Amino acid sequence: MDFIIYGLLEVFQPINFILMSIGVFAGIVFGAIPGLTATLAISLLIPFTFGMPPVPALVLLLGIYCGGIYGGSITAILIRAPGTPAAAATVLDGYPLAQKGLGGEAVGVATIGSGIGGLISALIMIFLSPQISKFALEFSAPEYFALAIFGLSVIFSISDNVIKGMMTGLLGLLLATVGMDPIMPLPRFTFGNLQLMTGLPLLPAVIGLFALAEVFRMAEEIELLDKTAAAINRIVPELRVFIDMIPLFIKSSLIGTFIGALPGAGANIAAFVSYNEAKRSSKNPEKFGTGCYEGVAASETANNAVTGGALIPMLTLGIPGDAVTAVLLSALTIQGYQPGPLLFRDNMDIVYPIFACMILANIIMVIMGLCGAKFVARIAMVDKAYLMPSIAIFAIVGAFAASGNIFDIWVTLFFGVLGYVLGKLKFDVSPIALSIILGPLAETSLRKSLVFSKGDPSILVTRPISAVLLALSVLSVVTTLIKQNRARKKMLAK
Amino acid sequence: MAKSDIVTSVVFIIFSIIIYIGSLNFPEVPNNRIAGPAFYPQIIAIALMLTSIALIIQSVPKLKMKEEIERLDKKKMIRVGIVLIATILYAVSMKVLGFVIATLLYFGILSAMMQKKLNVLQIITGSVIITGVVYAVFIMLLKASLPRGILF
Repeated sequence: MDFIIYGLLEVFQPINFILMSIGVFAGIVFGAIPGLTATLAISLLIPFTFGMPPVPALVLLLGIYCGGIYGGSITAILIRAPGTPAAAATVLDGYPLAQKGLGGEAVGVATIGSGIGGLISALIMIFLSPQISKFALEFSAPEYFALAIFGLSVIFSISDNVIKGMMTGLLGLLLATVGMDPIMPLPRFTFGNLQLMTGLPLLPAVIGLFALAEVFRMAEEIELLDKTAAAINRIVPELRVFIDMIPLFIKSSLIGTFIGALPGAGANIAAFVSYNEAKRSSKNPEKFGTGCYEGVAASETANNAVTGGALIPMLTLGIPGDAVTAVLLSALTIQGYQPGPLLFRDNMDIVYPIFACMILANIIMVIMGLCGAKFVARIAMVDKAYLMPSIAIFAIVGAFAASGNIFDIWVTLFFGVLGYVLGKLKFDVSPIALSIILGPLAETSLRKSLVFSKGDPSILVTRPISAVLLALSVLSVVTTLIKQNRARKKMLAK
Repeated sequence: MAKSDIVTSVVFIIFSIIIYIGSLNFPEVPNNRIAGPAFYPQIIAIALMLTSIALIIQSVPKLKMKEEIERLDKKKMIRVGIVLIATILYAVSMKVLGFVIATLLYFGILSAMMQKKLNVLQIITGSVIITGVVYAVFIMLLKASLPRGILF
């Protein structure tokens, strides 16, 4: 218990508390604006955290993370435009509720559900992470290699097309080899460019892929947003509604945390799984889709429960499970920390505040949501003619200011164009970000293993943990491949 | 999608061949051929080549299907092109014009492009506000050094 108190004391420091609240609010607003995601918000704000000490920087970003996943629900319910993909399942029942004039109550349910989901998952994270990291302390090079491959394989298999997911993932792995060889003093693929000696800078890459690419997408057309937000009358439904839903809240939280902890699956998947499960186990499943609180609660509780779950592999193993945690991980790296089991041995001074922040941020989020949803819904309708140039400027200036190097703007631009073009060709770009982060880990651990075994690759499969992880990786890719192939054959037959 | 998938695969294959060839003259580690600097990029390049070929194989049967042809919308592409060029000019001009003027202009161009009806006053206000915010945050608060031009 001591450590929670230590963490809370740290987070209650005025500066940290204020930054966390700003983060939660910014997250809610970014999340609520259709098209902007928590990933984009965090990538844009990382440059602000450069000069900050680690704890304020992290509470700001974690606040954005929690708020960003929740914020999407407000616009999903009130204007039928899910602010983030995570809230796509919330529309199914949220919008019908708003049409019945119960939009406010639906936002209330979503807010409280998100808070409960976030809190339960934070608690699970707090109790599980130290155990997992203790277990992972035994890992050496072959296990780390297997772990990196496992993380990548899950990312591949959630892509709409595994093969395309693998292609972008492998492209990312190749881009990650640019720079100094991790073991020998030898520059690779730098074309004599000194700037590339240290490798492709991570932050500009992330800002390009997630923020600048979005700017290009927004540029495609002038959107005529004539939608008006449904009115909010009261925001807290009757207490009885909540008491009836307690089991649902708990179940959805567990589903969300579990899915979040799996590398690869993120908030949008958790929301749909939880929604389907709630519908399946409901006494009156026919109500779902016509505007019932349970649908909103199932989806919103689960997507916020992903936050705590997704942080488990990120913090304990250094394996980010999705795009948002990949970006968070790069923020930790920039602050000079290497997430992984050693973090729990050597850097508890930042781990405890992270724990405390995940609890407090969810509480602040509920208060802000209940008081400010109306206001946020109005900000979310901001004109794209201002929004798009602002994001572009913050992306470019942010990438530049972090290093003071014009070269970083070119890297941002390169990844922005790459992300936009690949997106147009229906390729998923999050594998690129993940592979750029996991690439060096994969290569270094692979080569260390091979040096250790004097060139015998069997070392990767004769050690139990790495063998299991590698087998799981192959299994997850192959099964998805077969499943998708079958679906494709059916489609072709038609 | 089938056609564009095949073209993309070919681009990826060419890219992986270039990487493979580029790694051929990396030095080797004595007595341990596979732990050298060339081994890993080569493996990944081969894997990328194989997956790209797999995508081609997957797409060929779909070629016969008459799917709704997604033409590249010229208007959209021009708009994206404008943003791209404006961004390049923004980066280049920052050193000459200085951060303040370059940002004012960049915002103005993008904002004008995104407006339903051109409203110059709104563009100027928005551009001054955002430039002011960026200036306050990055220069005054974060003490970042952004390029100064001749005037500012």
